[in-house]
Amino acid sequence: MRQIRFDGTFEAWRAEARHCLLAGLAPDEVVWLDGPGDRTGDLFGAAADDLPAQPGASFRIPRELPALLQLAARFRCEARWSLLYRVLWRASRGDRSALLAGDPDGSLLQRRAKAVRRELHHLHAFVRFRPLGEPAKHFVAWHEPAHDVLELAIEHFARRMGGTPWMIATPQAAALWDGRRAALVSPCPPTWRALAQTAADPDEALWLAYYRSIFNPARANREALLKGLPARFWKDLPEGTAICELLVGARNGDRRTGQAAALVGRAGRRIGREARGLAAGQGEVSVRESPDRRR
Amino acid sequence: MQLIDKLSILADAAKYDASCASSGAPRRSSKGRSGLGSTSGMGICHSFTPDGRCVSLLKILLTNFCLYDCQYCINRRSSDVPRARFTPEEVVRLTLDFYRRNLVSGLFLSSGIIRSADYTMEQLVRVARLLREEHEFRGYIHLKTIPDADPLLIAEAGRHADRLSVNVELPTEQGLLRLAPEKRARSIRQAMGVIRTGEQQAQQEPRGATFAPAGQSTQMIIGADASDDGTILRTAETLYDGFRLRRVYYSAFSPIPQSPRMLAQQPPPLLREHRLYQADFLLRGYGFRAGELLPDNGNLALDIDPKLAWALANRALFPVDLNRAEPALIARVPGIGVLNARRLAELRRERRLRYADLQRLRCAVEKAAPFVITQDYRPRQATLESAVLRQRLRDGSAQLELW
Ligand code: SF4
Repeated sequence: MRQIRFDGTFEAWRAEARHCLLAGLAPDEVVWLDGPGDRTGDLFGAAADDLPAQPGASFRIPRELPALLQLAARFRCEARWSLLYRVLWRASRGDRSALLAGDPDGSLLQRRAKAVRRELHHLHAFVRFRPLGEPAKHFVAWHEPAHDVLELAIEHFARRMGGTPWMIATPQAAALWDGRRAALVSPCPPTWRALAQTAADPDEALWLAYYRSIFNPARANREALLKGLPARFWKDLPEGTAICELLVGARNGDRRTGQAAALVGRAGRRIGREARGLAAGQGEVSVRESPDRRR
Repeated sequence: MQLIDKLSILADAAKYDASCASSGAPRRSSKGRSGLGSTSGMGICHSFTPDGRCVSLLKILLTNFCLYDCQYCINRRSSDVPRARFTPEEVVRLTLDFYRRNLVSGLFLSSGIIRSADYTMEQLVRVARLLREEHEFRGYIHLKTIPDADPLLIAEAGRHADRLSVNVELPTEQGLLRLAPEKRARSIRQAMGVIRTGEQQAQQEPRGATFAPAGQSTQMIIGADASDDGTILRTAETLYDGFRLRRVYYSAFSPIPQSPRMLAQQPPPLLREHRLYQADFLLRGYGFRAGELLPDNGNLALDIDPKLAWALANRALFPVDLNRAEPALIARVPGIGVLNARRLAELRRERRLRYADLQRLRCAVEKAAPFVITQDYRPRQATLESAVLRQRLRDGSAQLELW
């Protein structure tokens, strides 16, 4: 049994794994210890670069494998690295099914890669930028991803925001864009964290009004909501607090007309047949004001 | 009127349009340039409302004043609702503000008909032009196209927008005549034709200006008239074939304030809408024809999905040997999607397929079991009558209670 210590990055793991493969170490002969936080193996863990390579050893792997391993390595769990090495080991011996979703290892690998992609998508979707300064010059966001995906999102937001500077802070790291260059800072400095968590948005009411109105209470469907927008994200979304209120409203009768609660019973305007130049304010508009039906 | 008030009214007026897609646009980027916004081809749902629908775009009407009297519509002129109108600048401001906060990926702008079709279309185009030209906005824009608008205006709309849509509203011309007296099936299809021609011209000149690169879509209202699912799906199929539509959306008619008496005062038929989307997916992604799914018209079954219904009606084709069959036929097996059909074909190049492979791929194994053969499995139910199988495989009653 060989304990391999490395700094927890994919690049370092890749170099160590290469040594292990060349030395002919089978998956059950290797234990992976990542990062300085792991104390238990300190006495024994070591890098693998002193392993003797087997004479004439070399290996080939499918071209798509490194990218897939790198993606799956971003999945946070206890045994992150041992699965990766098992797949690499099998693939290096010509067993291509180790990558496929129909294989026990392959299905686990694919599932982790998929979860990472999904979490990146969540980050693209649910990050909420709040403006700093008046007029707004910078935008900051606080987000809690379940996997190590922040780095992957930098390019997306750089393309999206153009010259506008932004910062995304997470419990682990912060990503920064000054309008021209990007940086990933890990761990996230406490002052940045505080800035991202406390920024207030004077225009938040506009978004909430939109969210309330675009919802159709006649179609209320809690399960579908939870599937699209897992509850763990609600606390950092401005609309998070409106969700329960809207669902309760729907149950208590808002679903009868589907109209947003704020509009129900408000004075309306029927429009006469002869109307022309409507709402353009030319005075030819014929509308009948109805009395406010609200009690 | 305050901006926030207008927004409340004009979002409420827009929510009956089901489409909120932001996918299919070409890759655009603002990195290292002035302006704002990007598109990647993939849509993003920035939020979900408690009806489970995705919020991808700022979906609003420019105004809910309308000269028309479409009976199913909350904005019809005889409807007693608060009315409002945005200025184009207000729409631009809201779009950019929401976009910077990462609340939306763009704008879906529609409008009631004011003054004339041309005037209304001009207003919509003006917003898109402001966004694209003055603010160098590169996010997603979806514009509603007003039937009868000047083809030149539609052409300009296509230059600015990623997607254009004209709603057919009702599956039949008779339905339209009865419920939307000012609308004509012919002018709706003409507008679709103008868009289609614009797309084709742009494709022939790859270096020229783009034209609605995310294509066109439409929407049909379900349950406002008596059309059955067969009619609806055949209409959809004709539109897919004739105009290369990217999507047909189905919108269960949802009660509106003071619904006219000629319309049903019922909860929206959500399960029926769900089955139509499933059937539509089979038309677009699986090569099914409407006539295969509903050979004698009528409605789709509510208790089982349309693929299972088709398989039960075509037992002679099953069971399918997964180690031998064409991938296209494997994709027609209930419980196995196109993606998994492709994965199975990949896997069987490495080794023989076994029953456990279906479980590992997370196919709906219970549904698939009576219809497949693997190296280690042959269905005992292959001799069961379809009626018995149907009893066994129907969706849980919990799912039937969407309302
Ligand atoms: S034209 Fe018809 S469907 Fe469109 S807003 Fe006016 S009444 Fe509604």
